[in-house]
Amino acid sequence: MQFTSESVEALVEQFTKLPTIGRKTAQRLANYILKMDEEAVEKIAEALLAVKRKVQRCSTCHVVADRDPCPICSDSKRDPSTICVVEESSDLLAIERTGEYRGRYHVLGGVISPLDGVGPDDLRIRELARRIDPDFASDGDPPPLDAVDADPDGEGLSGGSPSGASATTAGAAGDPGADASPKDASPEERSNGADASSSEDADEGRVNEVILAVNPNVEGDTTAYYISQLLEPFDVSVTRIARGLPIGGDLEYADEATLSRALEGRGDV
Amino acid sequence: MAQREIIRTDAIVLRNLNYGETSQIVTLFTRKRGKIAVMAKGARKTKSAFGSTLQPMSYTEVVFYYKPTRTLQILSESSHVVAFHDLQRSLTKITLGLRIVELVAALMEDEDPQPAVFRLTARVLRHLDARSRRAANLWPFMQMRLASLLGVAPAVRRDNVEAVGSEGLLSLADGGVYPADATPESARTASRAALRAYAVFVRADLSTALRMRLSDDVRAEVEDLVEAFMRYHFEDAYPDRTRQVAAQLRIQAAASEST
Repeated sequence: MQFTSESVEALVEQFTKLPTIGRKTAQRLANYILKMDEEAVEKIAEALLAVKRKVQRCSTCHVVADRDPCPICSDSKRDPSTICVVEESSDLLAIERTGEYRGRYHVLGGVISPLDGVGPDDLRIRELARRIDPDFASDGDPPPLDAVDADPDGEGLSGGSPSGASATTAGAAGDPGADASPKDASPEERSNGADASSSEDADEGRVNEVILAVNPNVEGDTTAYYISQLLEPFDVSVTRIARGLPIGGDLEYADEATLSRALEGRGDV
Repeated sequence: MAQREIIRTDAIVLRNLNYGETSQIVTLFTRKRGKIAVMAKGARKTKSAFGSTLQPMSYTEVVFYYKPTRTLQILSESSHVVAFHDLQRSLTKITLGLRIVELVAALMEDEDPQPAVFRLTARVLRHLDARSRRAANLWPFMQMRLASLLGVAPAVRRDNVEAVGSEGLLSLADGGVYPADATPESARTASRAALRAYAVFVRADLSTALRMRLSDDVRAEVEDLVEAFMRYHFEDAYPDRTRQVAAQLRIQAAASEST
């Protein structure tokens, strides 16, 4: 249905540009705006403009903030030796709500998603590496993965059998049972960033730990493995937040994969 | 009036897309109904009963309410048939697995049951989960088998393969291997080693294909041949996104050729 007012129609048109807002919802919102006080509508308009005019990204951690550096990066009480890597600014806020973390952050701006064509070059992964080592190559040269064997299965990421030039079948089958435990640092070795005083002993600006707080899904796994390999040559501990059962959840109803990860990530009582 | 039906079937998760606050639209390749899209309400909540079962490459049993008049069905239940514990523990396996589900998603028609393709995909993913070595061999094997099941089986003849000298030809039109002096349609030159490996992927069973050891160069050449053959027959339907990202990740197919 078309509105009799072109102004209302234009507003509906603009609302439909927002995610999850269809034409029906846009019409409802427009009708609500019509009934609101002019002062309240002005506040909404001002807030919309302010968000575009004032908000910027912190040049260090890339979180959205009103100033650069952001309040977290400029807070001297924050532990600079620990960086928590998150996908989006909203994830940073979720971790801040816990009140448990006193380190700094790095916002990737997404995750590696091969099915969507999103690769590491589309994210702020190099910027993360440069925070750890300012000399990290900035010319777009990919990380030296060839030298790294971070594959728990014993597969390298490159370099096949040098003697396997023949395309004939070999008799030796692989060992499907070959499995190595994922590299896990002990809890004692990990710093959770809660103790800001630990930074006093660390070199100024030196990063000791990178905590990967990416979602527990295929994209998050891909991103975590890639970053851990990228940072392998640096003297920095790379950890990932635990995956498993939610508090209040029922073990009986947990799926096998989640339960398996929960068992792997078990800790002392 | 369209009749609602409750379907319970095995499925392989091809991909998922976040929808709204907590839901996901999930593309499944089901044994009974072929490729189908379902809405998984609340799938992203931490206490969702779907748990990890809707991650791409998962092999699950699903229950959904099927209504012929709608294109998006409502997912009711999902549980692992086989939980692939190791599939998501290495970049190589993740990338290979995603290429496999991306290919199936691209080449399957909606609601066109293909039980043989379903069995092939499930089998290849199982091996990818279990294998430590030469898992990369699964990728050309999967493509050649899928092509055969979709009606474009390569016509590889043993005597022609034996006749190949240091170099030979692959006909993209019929998928056959020919000596260098032959004149097949849409021919492409390749090394003897690559053409023999290609022939093994076309004709041999999975266990034989997985025993084959390839050098980086030969593997790259074989993958180029297989890709050229697939592109010749499936044209723009042949997917490319995961390959491009894998290149950024520097995941090379020869990676799993560990010594």
